[in-house]
Amino acid sequence: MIKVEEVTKRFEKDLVLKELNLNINKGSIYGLLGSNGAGKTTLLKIISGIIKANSGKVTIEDKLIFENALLKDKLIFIPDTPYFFSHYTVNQLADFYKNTYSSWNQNRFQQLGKIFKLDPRKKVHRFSKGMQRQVAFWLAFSTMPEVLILDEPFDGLDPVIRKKVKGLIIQDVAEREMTVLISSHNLREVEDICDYIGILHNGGFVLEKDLDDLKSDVHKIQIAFNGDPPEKLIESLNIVHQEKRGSVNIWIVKGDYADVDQEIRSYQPILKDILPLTLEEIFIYEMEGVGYAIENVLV
Amino acid sequence: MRLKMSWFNKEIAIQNFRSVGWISIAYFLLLLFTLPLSILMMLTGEDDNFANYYDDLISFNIEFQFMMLMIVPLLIGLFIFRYIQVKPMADFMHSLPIKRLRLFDHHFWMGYLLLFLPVILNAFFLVLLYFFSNHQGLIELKDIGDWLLVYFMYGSLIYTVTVFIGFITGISVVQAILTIVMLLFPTGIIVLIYSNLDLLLYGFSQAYAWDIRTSALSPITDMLDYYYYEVSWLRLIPYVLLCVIFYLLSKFLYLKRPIEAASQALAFPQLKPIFKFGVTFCFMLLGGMYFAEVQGQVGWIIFGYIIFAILGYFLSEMILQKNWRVWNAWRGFFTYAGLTTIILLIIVFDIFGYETKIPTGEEIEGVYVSEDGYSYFEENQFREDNKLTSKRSIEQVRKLHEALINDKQNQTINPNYHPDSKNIYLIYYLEDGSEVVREYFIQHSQQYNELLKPLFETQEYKEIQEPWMSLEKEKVDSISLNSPFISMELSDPIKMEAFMQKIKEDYQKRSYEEMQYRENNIYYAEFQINDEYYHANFSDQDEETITWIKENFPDFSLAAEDLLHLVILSENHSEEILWELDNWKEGTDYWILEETGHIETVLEANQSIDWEDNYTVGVYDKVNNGYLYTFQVNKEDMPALILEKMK
Repeated sequence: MIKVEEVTKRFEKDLVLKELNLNINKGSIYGLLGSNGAGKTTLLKIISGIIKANSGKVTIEDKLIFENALLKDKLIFIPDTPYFFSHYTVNQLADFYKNTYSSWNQNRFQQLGKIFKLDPRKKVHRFSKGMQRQVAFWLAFSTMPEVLILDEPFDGLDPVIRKKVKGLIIQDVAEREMTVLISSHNLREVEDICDYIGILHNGGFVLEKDLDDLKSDVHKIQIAFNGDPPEKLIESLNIVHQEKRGSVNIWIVKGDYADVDQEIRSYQPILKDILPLTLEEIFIYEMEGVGYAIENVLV
Repeated sequence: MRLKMSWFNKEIAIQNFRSVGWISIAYFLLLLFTLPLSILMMLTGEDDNFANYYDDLISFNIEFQFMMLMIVPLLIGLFIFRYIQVKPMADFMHSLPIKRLRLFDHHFWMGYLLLFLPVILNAFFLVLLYFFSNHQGLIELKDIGDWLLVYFMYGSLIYTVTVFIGFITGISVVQAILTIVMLLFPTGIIVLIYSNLDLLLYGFSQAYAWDIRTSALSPITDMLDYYYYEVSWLRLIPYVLLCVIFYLLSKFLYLKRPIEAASQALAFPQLKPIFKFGVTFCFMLLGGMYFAEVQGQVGWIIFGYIIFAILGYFLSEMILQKNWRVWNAWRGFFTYAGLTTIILLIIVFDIFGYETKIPTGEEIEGVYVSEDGYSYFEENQFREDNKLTSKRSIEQVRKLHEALINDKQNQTINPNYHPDSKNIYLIYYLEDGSEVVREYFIQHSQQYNELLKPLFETQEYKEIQEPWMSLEKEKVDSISLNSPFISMELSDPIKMEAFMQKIKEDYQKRSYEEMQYRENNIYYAEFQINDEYYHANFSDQDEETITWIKENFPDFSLAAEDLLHLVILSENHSEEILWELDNWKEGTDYWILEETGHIETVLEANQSIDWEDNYTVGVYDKVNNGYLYTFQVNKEDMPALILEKMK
């Protein structure tokens, strides 16, 4: 649905994105990870049609997004600090959105009001930072967008609200096949809701993965043999990382669980334990594989 | 399509009103108080004369009106397009499903409406006042039209230029400053270039260059010149054209503008060198002008050029980088310095031969000469009509010009003015229709007497200098003769003709020095032709004329008996003392002569035209019991009898 092809963006002399490609399917939630300055916000603004890439193209449903009012009508971008016209109340802002977006749903706006429990007659600038962010979500969900782009959306939200918002996102994705792109510098924040993850570093993707594949594909194996582990086994397994503690070897192995299990059994180890990895561990090892230390790329 | 997708977005209009509506409302109230209300107060007041105080509506509190006229369009232009300068707002507005050009038109025309609604409403009130007041002399419908026109012209241009500049920069403060600079630029740069050429090129006539009414090139200076022109609908044309151009340019730039340029000094990096070198160049010229005005020595002027260029360069660098620490950006400055030095050298070494150019005799159709420099009151046509065309005069001018060129070394930029200093101003009208204009300052014209005398003593020059010299006797309706005490009419054609004959002869006889320095021209003749009057001054030294008058009108001329006394001042006293004898200070050297015989003797002494070793003689008459005129007598020429008296 969202297609980014060979996008390059410079801010004067600084190269922010270089020949970047990205593909997001309809109805999926894509997590864009990267440390500060990796180019996440720039990429999101380009996909939202706010700024223009120096080269390459961004399409949504095969149409170019830049200066395309019809497409933007179905897309909502919430920046890391949401912007509101000064001295507007939530109701006034709702009127603005109602007038500007064709898919505005007044019923939903009223229903969501009950969930967020904020007074719509109050000026938004009177609200705290976290409450302002809730207002941004409130308005965004009420416009029933087909594409929702969120820049660091969970910063400053308390766990209860965070859960609520995540629930709303998942609900819309499930019910209306909304497509969501979320950026974050924190993996733990998005791992429970995203089904795709891309790690951006220095203007390019270091890694792009389907999370379901990832989790079932990488395994942590604790294994011990009489003497050294057989060379043949080591060669046949795709080991991305290995350590030794006493006589116990710890391997991180990529591959289908059943295949790996069977292969190991055939060598009759004294001790064998295949464990799932946390997402963070997977990333640490994956990044090692492509030559990055994760702490340089993610916080 | 649904209403939502139509051109007009009600909510954006509301947002526009919330952001600039306050300016509009304040503007409306200020205008209301400045015009309709104050006129209403005058109409209901006691003073019935007020209609005479004001010619038009702009004159009411003119300074305040002009201030509003400049500031309000600027403010509205700044605030209505504020959304492209504030990053979060720019991102938000451009994430909306509205195309840029639609956003632009929406904001532009809302701003325009809010700018002119107050003006139109007030004009409407003025029209009501016009119809309901009995004193219809105070406001005319035409005045209201003119007033609207002035507001429309300047307001529209300042507003569109503000908007245009907004798309070049990403900072509102820079937008405001650049707008003002841009509005002043056409006039300012010409002032700077001309005043610097004046420094660098010997003979360059800065004043002549002004003649194209430079101030009209910039709306701000044009507005301040309001008194000098008639409001006319024709003047609207260039303004409307410029507005359309800036409107279209703004749209064009908006399409090209990166939204992330918000909070950058310049939105288009391509403009940076232009901005940087432009600022540096203007500062350099300003520095040259400043030091020339204040100090005037070549060394200081060069110093001014260098220091101000450096200042301008780093200032622009600071604005662009938004940082004080720009000292490592030297390289660009050397490029600039190199280029400028070449340009300056071309001018200083006069590669194009500007300074030494004297048109040849055959090329010249005529030449206009003035010894008082350029006059703003003269029309170009007047100068052309009064050019010298005889071969002799032209040759004489060329000789003078050559001498002036050879005298270049003795010129200083800020010369001292002496009583005999002169500004020689030349226009050669060439056969091919072009003009060569030069202006030279002569500190002591006496050094040039040899060249000036033959030129200014020609009949041709005298006739040009005094318009009455070329009057035809038959056309003159009447002549009046005036002395300090008496005025009489000549209407007899024979006498009129005789008088004109005499006074013309006397004028032809006057020497160059007399034309310059005679101060006792206490009589004048006035020639009337239809409704035009021509003045001719003369004195007792115009013997033919005086003799003729004495024969025909014995009462006319001033005799020694008519005088109260003479006051002779020694050389070091200011003449001003003569005008206020009552405040005479103790200890000054002066002598009062009261005897008719003595007075006659002094009056007959040779009058001096030198400026040294003179006595100043003040002449006072009995009838008015007051000061008439002064003249100078050289110490050596003072009759012994009087010197004796003065001891």
